[in-house]
Amino acid sequence: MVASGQIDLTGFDPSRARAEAVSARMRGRLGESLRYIVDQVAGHMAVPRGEMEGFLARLASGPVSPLVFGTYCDLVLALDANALDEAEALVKEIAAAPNASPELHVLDLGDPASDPAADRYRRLVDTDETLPFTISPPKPAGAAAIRALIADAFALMDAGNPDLAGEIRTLMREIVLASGSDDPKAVQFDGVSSFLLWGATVLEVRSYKSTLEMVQALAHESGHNLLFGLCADGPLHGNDDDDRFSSPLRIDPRPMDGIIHAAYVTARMHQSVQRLLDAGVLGAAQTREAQEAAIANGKRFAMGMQTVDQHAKLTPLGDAVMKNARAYMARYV
Amino acid sequence: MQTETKAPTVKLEWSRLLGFDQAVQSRDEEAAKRLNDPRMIRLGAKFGGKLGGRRPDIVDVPLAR
Repeated sequence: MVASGQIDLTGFDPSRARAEAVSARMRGRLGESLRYIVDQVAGHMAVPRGEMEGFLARLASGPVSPLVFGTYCDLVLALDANALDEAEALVKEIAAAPNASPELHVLDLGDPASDPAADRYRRLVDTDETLPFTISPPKPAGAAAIRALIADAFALMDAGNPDLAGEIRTLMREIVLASGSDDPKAVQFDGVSSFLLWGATVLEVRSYKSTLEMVQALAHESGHNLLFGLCADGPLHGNDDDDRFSSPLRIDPRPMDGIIHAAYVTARMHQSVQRLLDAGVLGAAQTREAQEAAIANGKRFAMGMQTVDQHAKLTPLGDAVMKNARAYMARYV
Repeated sequence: MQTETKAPTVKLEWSRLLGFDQAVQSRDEEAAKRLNDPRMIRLGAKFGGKLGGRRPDIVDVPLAR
């Protein structure tokens, strides 16, 4: 999936039109997958076919909540675990799902103990058994501060990088505000995105202090979602998922999938601040902050690409994606 | 999730499923059916880290040119 119509989906520059094409393809593949599942479960469980057809029509017409992707993943895993009663309930849940609001929604995580949606978010971001962690509802003051930073970040992007603002608003449906553990020994996070919750990201409200940090966080997390979306028709690489390599962002060795994502989103973070510098919309202090961030992101990109160049078995899709990122970064590193 | 030990009654071809089509390359085909199943690496969470953030394992790149 290198091109959709006249749009090069692997291009590095942000684009609302590209985001719309990626969203449509993800929703199309989800619809195909659900139709296949419904056919396979026939005779084994009750399926509300009329309601499911209604859902598939809604899915084709516009975005749905990221939680629908999560419910789909839970459905596949339930069938794999032979939990047919659970699978039947999940099919009904998907069939009843409405379209999502066209506006990007910023919400506080609910209490996972009493809110099923919050519990699905909690489970589906805690997928790495080597780094188990949990998320909790944010404190109101922290959530309010992050909401203000998100608003400021979008205002800044609208002024100096409107293509990125438009792409993020189109790719992302939900920004979920949460907090990690207060235990200093627990695994912490700043932001987390998952294929299993496509169109969403979870941000730690205590992590971000400046508007430019939030601009980079949004570029970073939407970048993960963009790569997830580009993979609707196939992977970025053919490396074995059990192998580990050095990462530009982590002390511990990571799978190649994580290295490719890290290098790509680092280039995206670079571009997010560089375009604001180029547009002349930053004051003196923000200019210094953006310049330092651009240098750091350039170094991290170079570190990541060393590993990619040495070890990645890129598919044609992955090769095109990373070549375009490298072509952008070549002007700076 | 309820998990039973017998083979799935409904056997899905993961190669036909969005996302899961990327989850079949692991060597460990008999891994437990869990969200942190090694088959799920490409579908699972991608952490975002920032310099000076809350993740002590995030590499802090020196800014000196």
